Amino acid sequence: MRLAIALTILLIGFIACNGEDDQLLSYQNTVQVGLYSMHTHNDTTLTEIKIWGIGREDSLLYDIPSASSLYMNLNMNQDTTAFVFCTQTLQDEISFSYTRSIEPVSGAGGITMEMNLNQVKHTQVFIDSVAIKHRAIKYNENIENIQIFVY
Amino acid sequence: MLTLATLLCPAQSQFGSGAIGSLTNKNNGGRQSGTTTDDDEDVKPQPVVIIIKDQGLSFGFDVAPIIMRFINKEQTGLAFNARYGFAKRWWAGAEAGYENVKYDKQDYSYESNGMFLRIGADYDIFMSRDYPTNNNILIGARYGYAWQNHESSNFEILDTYWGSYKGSVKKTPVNSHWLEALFGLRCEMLPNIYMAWSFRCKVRLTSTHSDEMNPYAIAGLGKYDSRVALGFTYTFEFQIPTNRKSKKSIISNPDIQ
Repeated sequence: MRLAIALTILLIGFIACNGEDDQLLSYQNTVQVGLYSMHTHNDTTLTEIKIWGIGREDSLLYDIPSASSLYMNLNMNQDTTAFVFCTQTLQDEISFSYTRSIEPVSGAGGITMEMNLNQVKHTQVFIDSVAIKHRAIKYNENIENIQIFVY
Repeated sequence: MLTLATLLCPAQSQFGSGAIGSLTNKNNGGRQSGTTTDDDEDVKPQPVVIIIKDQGLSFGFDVAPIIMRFINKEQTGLAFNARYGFAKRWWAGAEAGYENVKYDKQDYSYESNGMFLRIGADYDIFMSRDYPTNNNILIGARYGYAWQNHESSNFEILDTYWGSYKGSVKKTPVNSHWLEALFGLRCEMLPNIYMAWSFRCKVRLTSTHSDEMNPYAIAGLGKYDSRVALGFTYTFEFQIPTNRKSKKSIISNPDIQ
């Protein structure tokens, strides 16, 4: 009986220490963007949003009626990705500079790419300013990376 | 504490061979205090109990990596350990091993080969005058170092908008340092044959590698994605019986009996 209890404890120990990670839900690396009012600094909602990547004018990343947060795919083949960001009739450009590194995530999940934001540039039609809140873009991490303050 | 030791070391009651030396001092007749009374002549000498455990040099191997092979087929490891009792209750400990991680999937492959070395000391907190035994309940610390090479001959990271990223990373070195705190049990199953297990909490100090790719796992430490890792060892050890002779000579020393 004692031996059985001892073996059970050992088994639990092994499982606890070596559990497999969850499967990857997505391999894409997205920068998480929050939209804020420059006047109140509270989160805000933009309407009639259209976003496409510069170089991918043939394909819209977003075409939605409204949003207060966005997920924007960064190009893993380059160190810079730029987007055209439209709301109603207003249009701005925003570009992200970053470094990239390959990250094995788990045996079941595979390999993903971690990115570290260095700089964000933008035009100022409806975007007032941009703040980098969390530079690291990692797999499975649900953290807002940048805040866009709009007029 | 004793209950825990008995639970996890069921054989100790049969094979435990620790010693209690019942020694008295001729000079004070075995009295344990210096108080003098008229009844001194009637008081029987009280034995001075000295617990002596075998503390020799022992060698062993860790079966945890072998068991892990059945749970995680991509990970192969081998580990050996040695310990030496250098002072009462104190043990010096060292562990060395090899670890291979290999994933070969449809859209990526990854391989890492590494060696590790851990050195440190353990302190035996288990001393019972009622239950003489060579068993130990150990708390200790380790410093760990691992050197390994890892590579990915091909991988593809999917992205439906910008297009997938295909690449490879050639073999690059990874050097890592970490600290461990451990708690474990060690019991004598047969004379000089010990079984021991330990739980370990590990904190990575540094890991130097190319920026191109982070390692999946550090040999002897665990997965890289967390700075803190938990570990487990389950070893079988043979202790060279060098101290048994000296123990007998102490007990039978006529000068102190």
